[in-house]
Amino acid sequence: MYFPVGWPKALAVPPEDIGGLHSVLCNRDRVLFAVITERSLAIWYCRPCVQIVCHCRSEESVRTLGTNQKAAWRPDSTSVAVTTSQGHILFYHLEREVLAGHGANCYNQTRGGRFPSMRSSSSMEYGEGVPSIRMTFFTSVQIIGKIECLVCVRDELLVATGNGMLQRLRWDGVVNGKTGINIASIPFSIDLQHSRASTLDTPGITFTHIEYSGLLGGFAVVLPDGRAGLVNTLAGKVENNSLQGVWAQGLENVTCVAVNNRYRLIAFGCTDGLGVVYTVDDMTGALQVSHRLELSTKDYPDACMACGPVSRLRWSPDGCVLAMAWDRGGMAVWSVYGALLMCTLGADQGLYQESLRLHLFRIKSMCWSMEGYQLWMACETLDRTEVMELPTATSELLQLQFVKSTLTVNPCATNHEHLFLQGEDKLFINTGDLVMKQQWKDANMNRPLRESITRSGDSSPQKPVRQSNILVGNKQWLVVQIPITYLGSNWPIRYAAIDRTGFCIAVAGRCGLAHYAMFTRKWKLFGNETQEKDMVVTGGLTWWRDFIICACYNLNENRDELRMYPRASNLDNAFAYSCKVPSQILLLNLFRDMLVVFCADCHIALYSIERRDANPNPSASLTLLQEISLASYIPHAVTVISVTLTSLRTETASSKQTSSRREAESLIVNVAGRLLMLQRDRSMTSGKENGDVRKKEKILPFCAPVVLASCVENMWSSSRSSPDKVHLSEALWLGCGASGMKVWLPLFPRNDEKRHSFLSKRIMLPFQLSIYPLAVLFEDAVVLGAANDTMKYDFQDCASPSVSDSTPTRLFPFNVVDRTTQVYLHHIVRELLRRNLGSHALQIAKSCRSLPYFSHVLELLLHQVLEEEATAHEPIPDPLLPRIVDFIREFPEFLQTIVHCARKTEIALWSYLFASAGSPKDLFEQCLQSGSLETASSYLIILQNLEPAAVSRQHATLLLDASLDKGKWELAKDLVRFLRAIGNEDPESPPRTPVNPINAPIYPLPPPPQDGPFPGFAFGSQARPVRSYSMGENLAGVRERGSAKERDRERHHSVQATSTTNKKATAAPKDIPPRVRADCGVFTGTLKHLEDTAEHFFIDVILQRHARKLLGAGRLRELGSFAAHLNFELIGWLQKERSRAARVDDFVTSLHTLHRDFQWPMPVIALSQVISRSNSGSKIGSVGERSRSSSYDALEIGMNGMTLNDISEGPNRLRPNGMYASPSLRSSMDLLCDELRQEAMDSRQFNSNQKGDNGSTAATETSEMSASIVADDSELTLDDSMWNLANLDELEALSQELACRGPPHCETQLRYLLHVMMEAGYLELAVNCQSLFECRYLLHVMMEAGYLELAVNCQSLFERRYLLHVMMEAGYLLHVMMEAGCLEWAMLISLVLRDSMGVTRVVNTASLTDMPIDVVGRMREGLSYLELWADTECPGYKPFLLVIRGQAEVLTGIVDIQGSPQVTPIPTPESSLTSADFHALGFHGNTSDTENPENEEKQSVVETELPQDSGQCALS
Amino acid sequence: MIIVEARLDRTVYLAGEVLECFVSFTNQTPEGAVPLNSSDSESLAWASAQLHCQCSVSEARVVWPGEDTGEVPHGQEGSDTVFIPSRGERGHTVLSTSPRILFCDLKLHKGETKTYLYREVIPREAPPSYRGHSVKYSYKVTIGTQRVGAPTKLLRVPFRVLVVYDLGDPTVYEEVPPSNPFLEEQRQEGSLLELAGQVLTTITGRKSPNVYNITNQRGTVGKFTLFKSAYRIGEDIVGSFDYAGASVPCMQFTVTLQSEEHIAEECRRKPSQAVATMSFSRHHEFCLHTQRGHMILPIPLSATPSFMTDIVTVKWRLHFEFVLACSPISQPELPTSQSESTTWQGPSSVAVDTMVWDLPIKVLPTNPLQATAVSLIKSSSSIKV
Repeated sequence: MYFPVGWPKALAVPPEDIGGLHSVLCNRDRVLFAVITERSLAIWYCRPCVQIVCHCRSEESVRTLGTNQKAAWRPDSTSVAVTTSQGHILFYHLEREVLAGHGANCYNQTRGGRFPSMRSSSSMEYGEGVPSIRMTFFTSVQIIGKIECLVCVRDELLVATGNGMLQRLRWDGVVNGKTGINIASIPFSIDLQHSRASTLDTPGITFTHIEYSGLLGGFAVVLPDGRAGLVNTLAGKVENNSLQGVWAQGLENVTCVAVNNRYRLIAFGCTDGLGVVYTVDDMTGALQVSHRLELSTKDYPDACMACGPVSRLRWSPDGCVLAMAWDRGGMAVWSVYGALLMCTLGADQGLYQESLRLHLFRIKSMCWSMEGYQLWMACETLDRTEVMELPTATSELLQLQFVKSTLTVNPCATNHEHLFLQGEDKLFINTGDLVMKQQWKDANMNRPLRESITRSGDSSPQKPVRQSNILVGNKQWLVVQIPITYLGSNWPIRYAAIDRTGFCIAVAGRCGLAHYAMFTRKWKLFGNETQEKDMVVTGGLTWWRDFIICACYNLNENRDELRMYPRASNLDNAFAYSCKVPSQILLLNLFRDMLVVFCADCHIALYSIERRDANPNPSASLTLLQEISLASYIPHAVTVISVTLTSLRTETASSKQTSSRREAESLIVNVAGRLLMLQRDRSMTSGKENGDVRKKEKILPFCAPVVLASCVENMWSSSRSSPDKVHLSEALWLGCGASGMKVWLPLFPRNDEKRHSFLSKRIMLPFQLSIYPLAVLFEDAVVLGAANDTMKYDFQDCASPSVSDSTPTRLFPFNVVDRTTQVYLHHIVRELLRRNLGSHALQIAKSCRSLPYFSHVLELLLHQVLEEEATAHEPIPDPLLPRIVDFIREFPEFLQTIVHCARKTEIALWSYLFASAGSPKDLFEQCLQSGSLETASSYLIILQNLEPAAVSRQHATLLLDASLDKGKWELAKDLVRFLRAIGNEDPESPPRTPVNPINAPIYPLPPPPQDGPFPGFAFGSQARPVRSYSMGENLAGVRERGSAKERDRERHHSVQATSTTNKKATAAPKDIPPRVRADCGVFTGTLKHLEDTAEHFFIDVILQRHARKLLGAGRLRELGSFAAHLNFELIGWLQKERSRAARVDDFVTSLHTLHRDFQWPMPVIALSQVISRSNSGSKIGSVGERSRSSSYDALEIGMNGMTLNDISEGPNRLRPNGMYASPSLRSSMDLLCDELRQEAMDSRQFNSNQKGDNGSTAATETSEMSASIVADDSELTLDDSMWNLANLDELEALSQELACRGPPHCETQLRYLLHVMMEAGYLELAVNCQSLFECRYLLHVMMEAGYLELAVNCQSLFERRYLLHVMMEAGYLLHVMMEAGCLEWAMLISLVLRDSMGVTRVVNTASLTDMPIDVVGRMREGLSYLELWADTECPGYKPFLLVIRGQAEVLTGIVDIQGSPQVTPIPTPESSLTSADFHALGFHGNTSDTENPENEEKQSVVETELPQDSGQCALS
Repeated sequence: MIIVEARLDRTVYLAGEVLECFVSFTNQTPEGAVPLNSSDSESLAWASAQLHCQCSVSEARVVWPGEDTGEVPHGQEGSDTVFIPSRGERGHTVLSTSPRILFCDLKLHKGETKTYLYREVIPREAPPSYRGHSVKYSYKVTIGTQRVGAPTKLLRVPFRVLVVYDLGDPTVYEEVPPSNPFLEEQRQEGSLLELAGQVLTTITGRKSPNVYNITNQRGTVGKFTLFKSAYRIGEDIVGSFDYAGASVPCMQFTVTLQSEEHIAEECRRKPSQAVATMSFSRHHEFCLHTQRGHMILPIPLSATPSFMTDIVTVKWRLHFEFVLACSPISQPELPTSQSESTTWQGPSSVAVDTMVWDLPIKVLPTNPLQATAVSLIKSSSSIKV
């Protein structure tokens, strides 16, 4: 379709004194334009757009003959007739000037300047130049009676005179026929068949407008009284007795008329600003209303009133759009069947005040140029800024540029699949939306190890990378400019075609063709220009694989041909295949490897295309398969809009059958908007001859046509079938202009049911679209379209005084073409449900579930029906909403859809929605049950509005509990905020909407108590909010006539609330007490405040309960994030819980839990030490070995605390070392190892020195440092030094040294190692930067990470950050625990972190502060259990436990000093109970651990060796 | 046989963004084929991935400015068992990230597929992808893999990098660790994208009409209004012409969108070397009898916005060529005497002169998602190992 682009271009108009513009009129081939002013006639050339000649009449002539009014071109463009206001016709002759035997041109450019010619000037030439035309005034003829209108009929002029006569004139000015025809004597009737004709009885009645149509065989006429009709010329002659008129029934206010030959339509403009389009009934000849052109009152309120009568109508050359202008200003463009494409009356066009705008520019005359790329408009500006004065008219000649869809002229299959527009010199392509796979955007950052790797081929598919499809809207047009080298001589572009992939484009202009490939961004033109000049593409252009097929006329041999040019070769006839055809081809189309052409003789021919891979260039050939004559079904070849070959049939087999390869089953022909379907006649070959005659089957005859639909502008069918979306790919889509779209959908019988004979196999579903469809994406369930949009550019800042702001160009906004898109799935579903075809709807919807916007579709479906039915003025007998709701219930998105829809509609409609969908409370419960907490939270808002505050509060509390349990902190945070917020609301407030206003006055409220005792009540003195709350509650109780029971309950709650501080949180109330009503003005504020605090208190209770739960289960990590997200005051709470929930009864289990929660590996016996023993040869050479054998076990032991999946991947990650073990590299590795060992020896020296220093500082600081540890230290150094030396510089130096000796690839291997080390370096860097841990920790971390590094050296930086993060979390918790004095946990955390300093601090705290003795005792005992456990199960812990043994002894000391008889100052009986159970539990935990089979099997490599980090840990 | 396939999530990125590439390894040993080793599984020793930017220059025009431009030195050429991403590539490697190991010692059973995600930040200081006359910057993700005892195989996926300058202090958008380690890191993936979008919108959304009077020595040709001076790629440049009151008739004109490639002075082969220009879209109009017109020039999304490196500077301009009539052209006039009519005829020939004018404009990048949508670069490629 047609869309305007940019501003109109203003052409230079003749000076004012020649008189205002009257009209603009093109000749038959739209190359020359006659521009008529009151005194002059000018001829313009279309491109370049210049004036060629202008004749200006003398003043005397104007005086005697009158001013110019209307004009008509002679079909051969040799004459122009101009009527005058005083009833004269002036004849002008035009002839091309001839110079030396050739047509002469004007505006030839010659070099005149001093400057050398520019490089590109040559390309500025316009094809054949501007023809020089001589115009001479020939004669003038006076017509008796004034001239109403004139029209050129074949080679005659027909003039309707003011005295009711039709006069025929020859172009030489001689009146043909003696008297002319008396209009009053023309018989008019309703149709040509039955109705009786009567003559127009008014004498002297005339026609104010006449438009001749050869195809309709008559004139469309408008009478002065507003009636209109079609005057048929029965014998094809304009004779007195051969005319018969047919009324356009129902019209009495017609102002103008325009005839569309291609679609056989007559458009009438009316005084009320509407347009009515009639079609001619073929049978009776009657005129029937096809559709109306009416601006919707929604988008254009009062537009019709303001714009006045329709003044001009013009169909575009291809009949696809109609331009309409109104008398008082403004214009619109409609598609052939009434879809509005553009209108200047919209709000977006309003640059000026409403009152002024409509009057500002008025189109006096319009005319489409060649191919409809421009609309010429003779505009008039009425400058009414000085209101009182007479308006001064300024007229302008404007040209508005349009781009049009390629479907208008070349509706071939591939153009249907892309959004493809053609402009005069540009092509616009939209590649459609992009569905992007999105990962990680929502991925939990804490789980990188697990999600970095997916295994699709593996048996455990539970770990896919989280992927979601996101739709990236793509409104961007890809603009391809047509090269000036082609356009210069071949303007205008007639046909354009895009291939299936959307990457190749072909265009054809006046002669020849050109094509473009997007990937190379290059055009290919004919190398030989004569070949280009010798062909004219006449009937379409299309791509078949990498061939261009065109229907062309060979000027050289004067014949019509089908040609195929390969894309890859040069554009040359030498590579082309051509095939002669008997008659001109008007349309062509493809279906798979079949070409269907429609010829001017109304024949359709089918060809098969075959590709031959001949060397060196591929070629293809055509074979004629079949010819079908359509002559009897088609009034004229021009009226055939499109021809399509499809695989559709009216009856469909089961879905399985159709999913196999489908053949060309039917021809669908659009004849003037009516869709004819011709199916293959299968009745002949039923049954017997199946196998042998495959070939015959292909040329089955076609049945007689069936009419599928009318008013069809465009049609889409898919030649591809997709087995999982059979319905959509088998559908036929129709664009029907104003009546929206229609889809002809197949209904497949379900497998289980026998075919119902009464069920039609296909169904035609109409629905409205808000966009103009241009491409249907079958499998994406989306329609793409384009729309006119405007942009505002401000000229006022820069307008020079010479430019008046009120000129029409300035009034026109800047037009752009917008890509639009619409999902259609919900329309289909809705229409099917409406027809009780729910099962089919379900089938279709289920096939589309993978679409990224599927949930959106469901919402749209619900929303639209809801809006329609809930706002209906009359009761709906059979509402659709329940069915829709049931339909959506079939999908897991149900709950979400309902709530999203509700939240997007007005509250007033909710009751209607939930009447069908079920009560929101139930839906909320369902959400809770299914664990979709986010959805449940959306329901809260609904509950809050529909239910009393108490209910929503209660539900919110439930949800808060659930979200805390699930660890959804963000949600929990929001809920807390929500709860606190509704706490601030008016308590027991009625829902925001009057749910049930009838119930309101049941309990009459007593008057507010007068003064009474209350004001004296010093609420302020009530220090404890809870008690004052209960006061308030009592107060409310007095006033409320509510049941006593409830009051009791409330009181009960409040009592509970007061006591909860001293009670276990499990006793906290499950539901929150309802609010008291505090409508007493005096107290409201105070009460509210009190209630708020009460409310907050309850929230705190819930939070504390949860915190206790987490701590009790030892889930410290969750506790940490819980506290962080909910702003829970952790330290203060822990202090309170110090001897309750924060007790640690079983150190071993708790340690395990800690390790698991933080995914923290259990300490491992230093691997290299294991190796150094087992492999006495070369120490590092064993790296490869290690990874294969011992390290597996060692690591697995080390990580046995971790239940994570990535443990299983551990070995995989260990593998890198395996590479070095490959035999070919072994020797070089050995070389390297020797080198390393040497280095290691050297650095050991250095290192031990350093150690010594460290050791001494340590000694001064920590007295607990035992000598044995120092001794251990020396054995440790070798490994340490190895690690220290693994820093980059040294390694690089080493590798370079090695490169001098070793083979070259050894060096590169080393470099590789270097890279690995660099990767590892990130950790140190990160640790440095963060400086979150004390310095002494660095070495420790490096050690730790180092082992991880070597073992898991393919971890990415991200993962390492994660480790660091975990450490930070643990460290933070340690700090918190210390602060809160939860020493047991602090001890455990320092153990996990192997932070001996931490242990020391814990012990110091224990000894310095007056810690309850039982805590210290438990710690002491726990440590000894741990030692026991480490001995048997986790030797990795041994070294560290050794290090802190001193601390353990200190603890023992404290216990001993504080008195051996255990005084238990434990306040609550529960805790004493647990304390009593302590021993049993502890033992139990221990034994259960030793029984763990998992651990047992790893006992093999028990190396109780060396605390690897004692020296470093002692530093501070 | 193992098929290695690498797929990028999109093909255009901003410098500073995280690139994500899925690398999948599939054992596709055909049925009946004799496997290399006796078992039915196949293995790869390792696979690594790396981003790198190659800069190739035309030797005839550009002197490569030594090592100081940050060129990453090559590894040993010729060795085929080591991972050198730029092996076999033309030009100099001007940027490369550190290699990441995807795995070591991967075993795949028949039909099994394993997929790895490679994520890497494209350095913010990266030059944009550019293909000019004498300089070309191109980006690739290179995945190297090796069977034990076989040469390294490389798989490359090209991508495009856009650079948005003036994003301010980059550290602002880096991750800031929250004080409480339990709080999720606040960083959002799209933050750089959003910020860049904001910056671009601010710069290119500014409408400040500039009016240029086009004159030559004989007088005024017309006025040209340009509504903005900074554009994103993919946008239309809209300008309007006004010939009212012109004294020099303009026959026709061409406006060409051009990029200029300036080679840094010290890198020029010849000191007199001219600036190379590349033409993109062009608007051409015959405007003799036009009073007001306009032009719409689309900036191709594939174009490289203005940028500057040590070697080359790319700028954008509108190049105007006017064809002007040397003398005024007559207009239709009213007849002088009362009884006489006049016929005006367009002149058969017009002596013309040309005039050239360059107007610099700013061309900036756009949202990479948008550029990806119309990009023709394939986002995946595969090899057999």
